[in-house]
Amino acid sequence: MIINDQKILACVDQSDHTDSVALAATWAGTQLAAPVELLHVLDRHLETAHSDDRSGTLGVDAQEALLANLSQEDASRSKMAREQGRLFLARLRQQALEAGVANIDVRQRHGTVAGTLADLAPSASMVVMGRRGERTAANAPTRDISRTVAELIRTLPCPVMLTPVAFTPPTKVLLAFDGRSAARDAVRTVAGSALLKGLAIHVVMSGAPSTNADGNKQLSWAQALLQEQGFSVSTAFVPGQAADVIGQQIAEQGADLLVMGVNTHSPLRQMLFGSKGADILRSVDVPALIVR
Amino acid sequence: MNHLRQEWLSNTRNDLLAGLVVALALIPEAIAFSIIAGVDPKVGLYASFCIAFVSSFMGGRPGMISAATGAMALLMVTLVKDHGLQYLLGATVLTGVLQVVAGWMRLGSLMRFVSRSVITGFVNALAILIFMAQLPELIDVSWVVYAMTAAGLGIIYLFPLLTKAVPSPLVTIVVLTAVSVYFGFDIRNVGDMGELPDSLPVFLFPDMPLTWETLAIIFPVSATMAVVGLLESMMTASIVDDLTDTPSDKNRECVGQGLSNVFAGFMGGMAGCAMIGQSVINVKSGGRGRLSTLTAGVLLLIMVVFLGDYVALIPMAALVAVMIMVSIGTFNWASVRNLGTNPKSSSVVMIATVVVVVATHDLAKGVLVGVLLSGFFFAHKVGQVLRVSSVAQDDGRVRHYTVEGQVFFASSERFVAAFDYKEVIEAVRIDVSRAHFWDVTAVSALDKAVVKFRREGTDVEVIGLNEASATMIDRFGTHDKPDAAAAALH
Repeated sequence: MIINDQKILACVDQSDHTDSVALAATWAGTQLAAPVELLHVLDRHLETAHSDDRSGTLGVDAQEALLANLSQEDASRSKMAREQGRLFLARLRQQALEAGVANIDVRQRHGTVAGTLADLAPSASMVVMGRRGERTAANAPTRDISRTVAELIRTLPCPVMLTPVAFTPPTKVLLAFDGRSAARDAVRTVAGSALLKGLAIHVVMSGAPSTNADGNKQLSWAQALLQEQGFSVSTAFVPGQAADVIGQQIAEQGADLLVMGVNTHSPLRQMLFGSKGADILRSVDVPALIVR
Repeated sequence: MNHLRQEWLSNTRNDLLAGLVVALALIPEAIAFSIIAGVDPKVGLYASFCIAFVSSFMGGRPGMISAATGAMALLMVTLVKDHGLQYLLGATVLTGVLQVVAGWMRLGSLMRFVSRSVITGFVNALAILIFMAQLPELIDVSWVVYAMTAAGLGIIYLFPLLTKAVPSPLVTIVVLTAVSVYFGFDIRNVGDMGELPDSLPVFLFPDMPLTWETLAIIFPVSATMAVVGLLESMMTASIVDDLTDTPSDKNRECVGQGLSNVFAGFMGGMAGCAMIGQSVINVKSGGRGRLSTLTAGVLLLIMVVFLGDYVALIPMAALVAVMIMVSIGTFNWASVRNLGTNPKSSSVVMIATVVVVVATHDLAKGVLVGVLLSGFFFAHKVGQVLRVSSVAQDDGRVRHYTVEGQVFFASSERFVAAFDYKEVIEAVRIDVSRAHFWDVTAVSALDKAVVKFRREGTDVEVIGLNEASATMIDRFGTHDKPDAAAAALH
């Protein structure tokens, strides 16, 4: 897949990650000269209730009264959320305009985040989102990457940029490389895209020491391809577990953006063997670009 | 994985609390419905546990409560009286099997033929029957029972004004039981009505001969119960859909209801289905996920098995009060208020459904009558949508008829009568381009009109048969064949 000049979707909500998402999208919009859309999903969370009426009584017209009651509550919550969303989207838009992005749009949508992105992501060039949203921050503060985000990374058809709480425009990229097809695709995508033009790239491969020779061959392929496109490239083969190696290399090299390719694993396989991609993401605290 | 987690665990605290509220309300209902069916209370209580348990996993509508119900209990009275409990258990299993088959055949979508008026009639009839089933407890009894029932209703409706944190039916039951035991009133209590569960239910094959005769006995009952159970379940599912603004899988619900009944039958429980009142209580109490249904079933069993000695002390007056609340809450009062303003045909359908059900105690018959009447009224109304106008052309040599509207069995006579066959004229043109011919009756009506004209020596040209009508004519028509007149004479 090639990052082309389609829209960049920035998934924002009122969490602590929002500003970094907006900044990252602004940066990507400038790099790619692509339009940016700030997307806010109003999820009414229909699967949860807000009732504290445990009286268990059924009065006259119980069903009609309950329906009227519930829909009125939903309506007032929706209106409030819409208004709040409009205000903070306007603020983020203003910031982006001041940062020099001319082509920026805002959009609010009803539904779930997953459902909304299933609708919109196929026509986007890239999705930017925080490692977790406001709901996970409130309900499970220890969870670094929310379940929804983890699921989306696996299923979205376009590249995803995952930002931590803070974002500064990257200066050095670490490309996690395992020589498999997903990683080779990631190298090709980076080489062919304007997003990372001019940045230094450090390509890192990890694994058992015995695979060193083959690894070096793969690494020089990546190096050649990237150098051809004018990147300044360094490579390293470091024995060890991928998650540990990458975390450590990012610190050593002073890299401030992680790029990795992912395979689409079935949920079952993920449940049984875990996901290497998710482990790597958890081990770093810099923004990450996940390429399919 | 995410989907499962969402259906089970996204509303945990509310689901657990709502499940508790529902379990407390289910106990009096399950006992009351067992009494209606003429079996021991434990049969209804086991059934309620089994059905709630299985449907929480297998059902298609998270947050809906299914258990032993009045609608089903009313259908099994005769079977229990004539053949005993074991045949009821067999019939329950067969009901479940039929419902599973209905789910596989995707019959849930047939619900679209059941109109709003029929549903309202069903619900109202159900409320009336639940109320009527309480009357035996209120006739020929001492004043104490009346006083207690009135006090119970008072607590049920007034206690929520004080606090909504505690289910008021529970308060009613606890207070009335305490009063009755303290003063030693000589009134009927649950313990007098039959055996309560003293252990967890066990798997038992219904003790009946596996013969054709047995099948002949239980099949009619099972078939009716399968239909009524699915009807009430589909209705309840769409009520919960509306209340929670979320969709449900109706065919999965059919299968879920079936599996619940199969399980209930083998565990010594009677057939059941979704419960409108309890599902509304569940949603009102904050229940949304599958966990609420499971909690209701499991807590019900735990409470009944371990508190059985206390349950036996509950005076029937307390149950009557709770059941009167259920019937008041189930009844659609707006349908009575709107009798004057709704279309007459809708009101007739609703009332006919109620009358037939109350007369026969069979909700299936009521629905059948309601559906037939709705179809009849609809055909009659659409039959009115037919207009035939005419104008003389070519200096009075040709008359041009324009037909607009629906031509089918209910309007074919009006169609034929709309032409002036006695007019002395050379030719007629019948323009049907803005009409719809729906069935064989419509086609033969057109043939009849054409033949009638031809016998008067008038030439007929039919123009503008639109696509739908054209296919009908191609398949069934005779007037465009040379021997049209001869064929029509036969």
